[in-house]
Amino acid sequence: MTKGLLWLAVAALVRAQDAGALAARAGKLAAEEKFTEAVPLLERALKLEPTNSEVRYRLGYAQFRLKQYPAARGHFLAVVRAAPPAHYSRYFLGRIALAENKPAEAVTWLEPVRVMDSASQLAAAYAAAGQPLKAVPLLSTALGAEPWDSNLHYRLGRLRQQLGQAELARESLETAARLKDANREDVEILIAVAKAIEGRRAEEARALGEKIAARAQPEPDSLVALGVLFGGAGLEGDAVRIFAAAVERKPEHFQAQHNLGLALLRGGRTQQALPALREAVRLLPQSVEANLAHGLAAVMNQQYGEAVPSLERVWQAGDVSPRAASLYATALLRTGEAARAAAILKTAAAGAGADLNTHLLRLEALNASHDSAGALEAALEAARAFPAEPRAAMAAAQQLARAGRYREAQPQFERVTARDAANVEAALGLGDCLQKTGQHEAALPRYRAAMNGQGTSLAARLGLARSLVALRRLAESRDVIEEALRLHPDDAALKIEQARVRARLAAAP
Amino acid sequence: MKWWLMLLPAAVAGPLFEDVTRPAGLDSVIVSGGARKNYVLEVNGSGVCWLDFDRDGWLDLYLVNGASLAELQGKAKRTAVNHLYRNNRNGTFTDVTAKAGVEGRGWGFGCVAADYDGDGAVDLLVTNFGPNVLYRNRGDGTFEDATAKAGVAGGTVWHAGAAFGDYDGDGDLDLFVPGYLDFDAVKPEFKTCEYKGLTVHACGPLGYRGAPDALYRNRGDGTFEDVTEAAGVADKPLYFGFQAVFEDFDNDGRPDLFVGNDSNPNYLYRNRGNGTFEEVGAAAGVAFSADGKEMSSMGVAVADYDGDGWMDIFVTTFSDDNYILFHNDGKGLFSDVSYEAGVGEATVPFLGWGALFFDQDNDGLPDLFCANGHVYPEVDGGKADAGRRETYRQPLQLFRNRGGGRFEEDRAARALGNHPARGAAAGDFDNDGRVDVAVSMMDARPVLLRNTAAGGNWLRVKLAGAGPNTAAVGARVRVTAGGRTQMAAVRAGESYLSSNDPRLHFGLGQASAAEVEVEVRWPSGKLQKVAAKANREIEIREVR
Repeated sequence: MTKGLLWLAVAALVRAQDAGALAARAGKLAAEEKFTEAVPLLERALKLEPTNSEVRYRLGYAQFRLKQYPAARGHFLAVVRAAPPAHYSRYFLGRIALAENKPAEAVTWLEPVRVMDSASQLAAAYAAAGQPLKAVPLLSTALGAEPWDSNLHYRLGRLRQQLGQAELARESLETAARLKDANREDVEILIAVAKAIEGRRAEEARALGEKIAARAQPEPDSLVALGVLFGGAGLEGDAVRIFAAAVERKPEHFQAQHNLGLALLRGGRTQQALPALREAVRLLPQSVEANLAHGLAAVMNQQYGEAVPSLERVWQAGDVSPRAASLYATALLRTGEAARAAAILKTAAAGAGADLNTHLLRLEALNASHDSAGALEAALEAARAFPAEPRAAMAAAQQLARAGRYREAQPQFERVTARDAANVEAALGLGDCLQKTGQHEAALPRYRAAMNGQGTSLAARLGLARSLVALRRLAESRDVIEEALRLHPDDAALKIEQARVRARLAAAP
Repeated sequence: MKWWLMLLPAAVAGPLFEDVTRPAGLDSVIVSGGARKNYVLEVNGSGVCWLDFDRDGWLDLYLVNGASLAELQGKAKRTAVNHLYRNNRNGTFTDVTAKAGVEGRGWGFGCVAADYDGDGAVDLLVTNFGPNVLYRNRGDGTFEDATAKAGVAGGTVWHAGAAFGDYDGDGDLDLFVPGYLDFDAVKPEFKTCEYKGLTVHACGPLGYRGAPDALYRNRGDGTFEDVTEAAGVADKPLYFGFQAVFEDFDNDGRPDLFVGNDSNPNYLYRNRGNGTFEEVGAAAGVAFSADGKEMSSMGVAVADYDGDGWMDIFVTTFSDDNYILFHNDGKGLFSDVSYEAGVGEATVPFLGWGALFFDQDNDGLPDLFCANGHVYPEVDGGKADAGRRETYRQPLQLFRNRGGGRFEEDRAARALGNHPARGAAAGDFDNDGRVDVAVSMMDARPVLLRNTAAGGNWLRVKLAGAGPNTAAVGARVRVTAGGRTQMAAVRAGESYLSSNDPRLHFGLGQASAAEVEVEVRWPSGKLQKVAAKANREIEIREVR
């Protein structure tokens, strides 16, 4: 290193130390909410080290708190450019845009952000931008973190009023009113519980929560808020206990029933979840969330007829997510409405994020509605969309074979057997393809491979016998059939094949 | 031996066929109940027969017509009759039905042309819903109803695709008539069933009782006796019989009998040679498809398509099942080779009826023609979200024989459009050395397809039997040209409710037109060989 370079390095180090010291002093002042005093320190620090994004962010934040929005915006923008993704800077840019009544700009800053109360802020931006439908789920997310916040409930109620969801709006506004009137002590306990959970101190959270739960007449809303906090922290057992207490206190409490059902569902107690969710839907039939949860529980309990009206409401409300569509379609399919199921799944499969199960369910629905051409197209579409998935290849292979397109089915079956040599269904399918296209010698080992399968044994033996006949290996064919008849003595197809082979043996020279 | 020289056509109009229905003057509409098709009786359509009734050397055409339920119930007068079209020898036809006296009666289904009484003039059997009609050709351009005398009316059941053949080897033609099903036309049950999610009403045949088949032995005096039971062809399970074909499948010199059954196993009756048959369908491998499934056999075509000297069988079936090609592996033992032969995949979407083997391009290899059409008009108007792709009208299909036992669909035939097709018969109506096709349609005019292929050389063989079997039904002809031998047989009744040109047509490809060897195995077993030149029709008379 030259002398000049060494000097430069030392100077930079001194500057950095000076800037760090200034920022630290400013941080202490900011913690005491003394932003006016913090700003000049941070400006000096930034002068010493203009590329330090951390110092620039802190300066922007202090200016934001002082409502010096143009200056703050400049610093946050610089941070976003210099150190993306800079979620916090984006968050405050969104807040500034909201404060300046620029909701569309706020949405662009807040949409990719998942920090602090960004869900609540983004909801505000959407609401201000005239998109209440997008705002609602964000407020629901925000409520998951701060279930005691009456303001969030109030905003949700107003949005639902705008959406014409009168019952839902009423429920939210009533909750907001109840929480406003709630015991101040309960709210403080809930905040303390939330902090304990954030600090991963579950036992402390439980102990704090007991202060509410153990009251002689606990507030149902407080119980629900507590349960939401426990549920969000993965403390399912505690959540169920608390929600159940809320239900016991007030059985007509929608949130109590709904959350109890959800908590039971999450804990895998689907049978117990169903009555609570059924009651939630009865109490508030407009609730998309409640209908979806009830539909899910009903499907999981194979109560498909019960699931259909709830999931229909979800679908009508515009939830066309693959998950909702799959559930609804499953319920329809199992209640004999295959064509409707296929139409719903067509939309779902075309949507972003559609998984293979959605495609396969669509295939099942199309087959059940006898749309063989549609089923073939759907199977090929799934195989294209999921080229590495043996299940997709298998579905395409079976559909092609069903359409008599054995030559095209063959490579699809081969893709499956190449990945999973023990797949007897694929081995049988491949054997059939080879046999249908006259490749009898090649079909033999495939049928032999499929002979060991529980569901493929008979068909594989028949296929083997038929290919042996085609190869004029009549005695071998006879032996295969006789062995198969010992396993399946009443099978008519085997007996017919036996008659064919016997006739040929008798005619042989 | 008598030789006829026929002129080659002046021009070739197209690659496969030209629809000449209108210029030919075939303007009658085939009726099959109402447009809505509420009953199974209304969906099966009818057949068509090529015959030279006036013995002028030119094929005439007979079309069987249906009716309406109201007519059967006596609530309406008969509006549609069968039609006999006389060939004007210039590409046109004249309707001579009334003059010839062959209007038929009731609801007609099939026809078979054969000289049952040995007088040299071809007669006509019309199968009906209800009693059949046997028209005896008086030889003067008119027919008489000889049904009662002959005793082949067959009662009130629904009769389908009949066939004539000399099963007992006594020199005259016997008759087999499959029974389809037992339908009450007076008080028909209005059924509702589901087809691929659609509500349809022409349900069947499953759910109905089948109708019995019948074998009538020709006594040689213009009368027949019912020998169904004695001959061992009683249809005890009452399968839904559609089309019968007499053919010698095991090459023992005796005509066996194949019966294509709808939704039931097919029958193959092996002729024991003592006036009785043995049913061997399952063991012979033709009762079921390769997958061991019963098929809805509709039409039946028979030919030695691969030139191995054994007669093979092709069967059209319902949609979603492939049509079946049964290869005769020898001695009347068959294998379903539909897919490896190339006729499986392309036929899955269609519902087939008429089936014909004939050499469309005269390359020396019999091609395959299928007349298709759905039974349910409802498939055209299904619920939009059901995504149904089937259509009521369907394309005609031609499968080109590529040799080596392989066929390939020539999709140029689909350019002929979609049709509600049923019966089909092959015959060279313009005597230009190319085989044409007549197709019966549902509730529409028939379609006459003039073969316009630019094919190779050809030979047409007309046989004249020495005994009462004047058209030599059951005779086999082997033609050798250019080192290739082909085999064909004279049959009366095949395809679907139809019968083909009784003259045998052989495409000779580019083989030398100079010398063709022709060998005839007469029904009596006698062999007769002649030499011929290509591109003409020859008549070979049986030497006693």
